[in-house]
Amino acid sequence: MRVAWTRDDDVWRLDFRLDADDDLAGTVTDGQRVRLATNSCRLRLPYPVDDVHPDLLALAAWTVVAPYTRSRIVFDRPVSAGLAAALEEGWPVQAGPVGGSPRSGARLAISYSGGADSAAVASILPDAPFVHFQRISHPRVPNRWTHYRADILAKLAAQTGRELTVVRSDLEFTLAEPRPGYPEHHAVAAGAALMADELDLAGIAFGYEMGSRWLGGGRYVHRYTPDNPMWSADGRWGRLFAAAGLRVVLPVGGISEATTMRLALGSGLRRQVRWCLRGGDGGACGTCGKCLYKELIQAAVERRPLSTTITADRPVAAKWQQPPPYGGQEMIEYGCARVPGIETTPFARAAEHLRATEESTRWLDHCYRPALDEIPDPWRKQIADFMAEEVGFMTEDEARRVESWGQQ
Amino acid sequence: MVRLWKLAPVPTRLRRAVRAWLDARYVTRVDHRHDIRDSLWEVQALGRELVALRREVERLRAQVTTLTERPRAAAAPDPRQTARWDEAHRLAHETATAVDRLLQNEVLLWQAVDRIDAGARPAGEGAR
Repeated sequence: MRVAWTRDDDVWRLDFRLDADDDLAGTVTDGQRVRLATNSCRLRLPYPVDDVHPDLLALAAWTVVAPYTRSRIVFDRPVSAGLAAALEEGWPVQAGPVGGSPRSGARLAISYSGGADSAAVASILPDAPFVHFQRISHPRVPNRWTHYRADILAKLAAQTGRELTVVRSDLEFTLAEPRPGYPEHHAVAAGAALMADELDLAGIAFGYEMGSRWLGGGRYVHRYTPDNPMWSADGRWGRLFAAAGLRVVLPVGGISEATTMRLALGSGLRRQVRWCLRGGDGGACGTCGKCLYKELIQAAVERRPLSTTITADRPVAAKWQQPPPYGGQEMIEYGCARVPGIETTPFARAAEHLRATEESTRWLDHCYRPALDEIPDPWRKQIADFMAEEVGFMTEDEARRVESWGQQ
Repeated sequence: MVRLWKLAPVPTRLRRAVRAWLDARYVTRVDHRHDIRDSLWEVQALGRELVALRREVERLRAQVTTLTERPRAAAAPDPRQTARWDEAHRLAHETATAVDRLLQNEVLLWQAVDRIDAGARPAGEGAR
């Protein structure tokens, strides 16, 4: 793979070319198979930025092209030896040319999506600036996903009143299959990488919580993952970001989505929290799968019956009619154990299978200590103090629930 | 009563006086017949009106039923319209798929060009 960046005013454009052994078919770090749609994308910064450190440009490019690169990555500007080494240790590729010096910064920014998890991060780090990724259409790819209301999420981010940098990008449209989206999960930070020198960033805080970091949640492997290749501090991505002077920080990596929900709804950002990608100005759509899942968690946190019009026969509720395992299963257990009248909801079948109780899910109310050990020095104490005061730590028995996840 | 006059001879004056007294006191047979005919006509007219009103009530009741049912079962859209929508959807879908393939072929084409060219060209060139 060969990549080249060109700048036109406030837009940085990435072009890439496949080597002979590269292919349109690729595999993301989490194992998801993807297919390339086109070989260019853009990042529109909030204002023109002349110069971006080559390591940051290389990092941003790699979040887009990594799935398709087989044996070689050639950048258009020489990168630091450390960055090239991080690439060659993390992936079976040769990286170059090498020649630049490494970069560094001082501040920590939050990659803020507007959902409950990143709002929880924002409440833990009240002074950290936000960087928000906003999807825009790609000039060469017909946009068949106009129901995705990135404009609303950007507007809500602006309403938080926090220091905000919005980077608009069409990089998600480089994916043809399964659908437009981040080629690698880390591509959400491509804009933050390009702005890192401007904002003097040394780290970027993500809203990935315990399920994603330690329990193999979402579409991953459904088991305890201390060596998570995406999010562990010394995994291949963690080391690559660090080599670019931009540490990956997961302030909520030790707490569950129930706790991030509680923190988000109890914070000053409550009115701007939005996990739904479809809802307009009037609020979340209330009909998508994400809304149903998050409603279960919110109802459990607020100890009230489920408030939804979605019934068990709807397609978005289909997976809860099947036996486990489920993505985010720990939260389904948590919700089924706490929501009154669960037997009349679309989660009735799942609740029967899981047979969870408040006692069996109490560990999800506490913080998993090893997550704090992963947080780089400058920011660890602030986050650890917050956890001690607002959340509380897991007992040894509770920590064993994390470490035996997926073995039951 | 009429026949009485034929059965017994009654003096004319008396007969007139009795008849005048009777006429003043009772409606005449002719008038009575008229009255009955008028009443009958009126009853028939009312009957016809009642039938018309009953029909009107039935019509209104049917209209109310269709109006209350309309939101539940929306009228099927014009089949010509739905055919055009389906056609537009098919075209949009096939065009998008074709564009996807075109873009992918372009990527592969550049890959082939580069293979021949052995990497002399910078990646930024070409494809806009």
